[in-house]
Amino acid sequence: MSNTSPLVLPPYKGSTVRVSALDGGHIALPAKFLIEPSILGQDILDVPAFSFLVENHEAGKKIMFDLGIMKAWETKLGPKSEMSCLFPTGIPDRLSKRD
Amino acid sequence: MQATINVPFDVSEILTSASVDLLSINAIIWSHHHIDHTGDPSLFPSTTSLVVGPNFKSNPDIYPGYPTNPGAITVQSAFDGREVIELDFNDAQLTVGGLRAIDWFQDGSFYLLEALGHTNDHIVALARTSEDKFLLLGADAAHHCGEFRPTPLVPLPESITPSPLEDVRSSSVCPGAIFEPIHRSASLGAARTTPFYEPAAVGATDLVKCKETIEVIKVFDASPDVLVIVGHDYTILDLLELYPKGELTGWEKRGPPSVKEGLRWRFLRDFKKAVEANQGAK
Repeated sequence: MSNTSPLVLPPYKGSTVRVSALDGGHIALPAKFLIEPSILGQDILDVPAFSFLVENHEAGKKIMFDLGIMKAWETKLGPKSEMSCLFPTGIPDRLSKRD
Repeated sequence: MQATINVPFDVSEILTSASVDLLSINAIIWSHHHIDHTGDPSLFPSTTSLVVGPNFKSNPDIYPGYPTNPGAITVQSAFDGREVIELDFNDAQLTVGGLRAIDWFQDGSFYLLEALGHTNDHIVALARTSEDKFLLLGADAAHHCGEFRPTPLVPLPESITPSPLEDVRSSSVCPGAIFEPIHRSASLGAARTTPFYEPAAVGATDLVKCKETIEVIKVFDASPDVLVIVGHDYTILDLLELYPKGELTGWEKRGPPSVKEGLRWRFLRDFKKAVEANQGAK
């Protein structure tokens, strides 16, 4: 494939990172709160929540980019965080707590 | 239908099981403040700093966290006892793809890019996995690959190989045309060059910025040197393995099918039912 991209990527300075994806849990929610229009058979977004391990061997550093979902979400999260955070403009009427 | 969540392991447990010393994790970077990205930083040692996007600490809904701030949607234990660094893109010396960028390790290997819209603190990451190849970790800049594919830069092809409706390693072929009638822009004749989806207003703090960010994601996605992976892109599992079984680095050397070309149209399998219903209606 020839490079027809208008994108200019930053120059190489001698370092790279190793990147791995981790399973940060799974979430299923109504697609209409995130994407539109509705397409038949795609009412639910049933998706993994990835976390990424980024290792820079030259610098001797490791970081995580995102952590997925906490295992203790049912006990540690506050009343506002459970679902409202997914919907910055407010919890849709039909979506309250989990099943 | 209400949202459901299933989390077998904390990410810290996966790391520990793979013999990674959590003390070696220098920082946790949150793409934004939503619970499907923030995990549980309290399980990491206090030497692990927490890096958050712009406008974070000034947002009373997210900082401080619960229960210190009873209405917060973050948890205070994530912040307690550790350095919490808020990124300031006003100091950024460079842009990539039009987005203000911070060279995190200051060696050109990993950039954090300001990518607002889904939330006001949203960032994405550009990781250099080899001299000239990159991963764009797109977090929630888009929630489905159909928000940034196809485009005029990467139109839906006449024939798609491997077929998104068959095994990714098969030599199957599928005509792109079967997906045209179900596309929102079919009547305009633009189905081959317009993404299937748009972000919904209810899921974006700033819909205008959210759409601007998606325009940039489209440009990254069109580059043969960049593999775009948004935070919930299950299609990568067709060709890439999760840690510790595999890594994403080296994606450009794998195949056939190549990871980038092999994965590009996999999301179309979500429309199988819609395609079948359309064909049945004829």
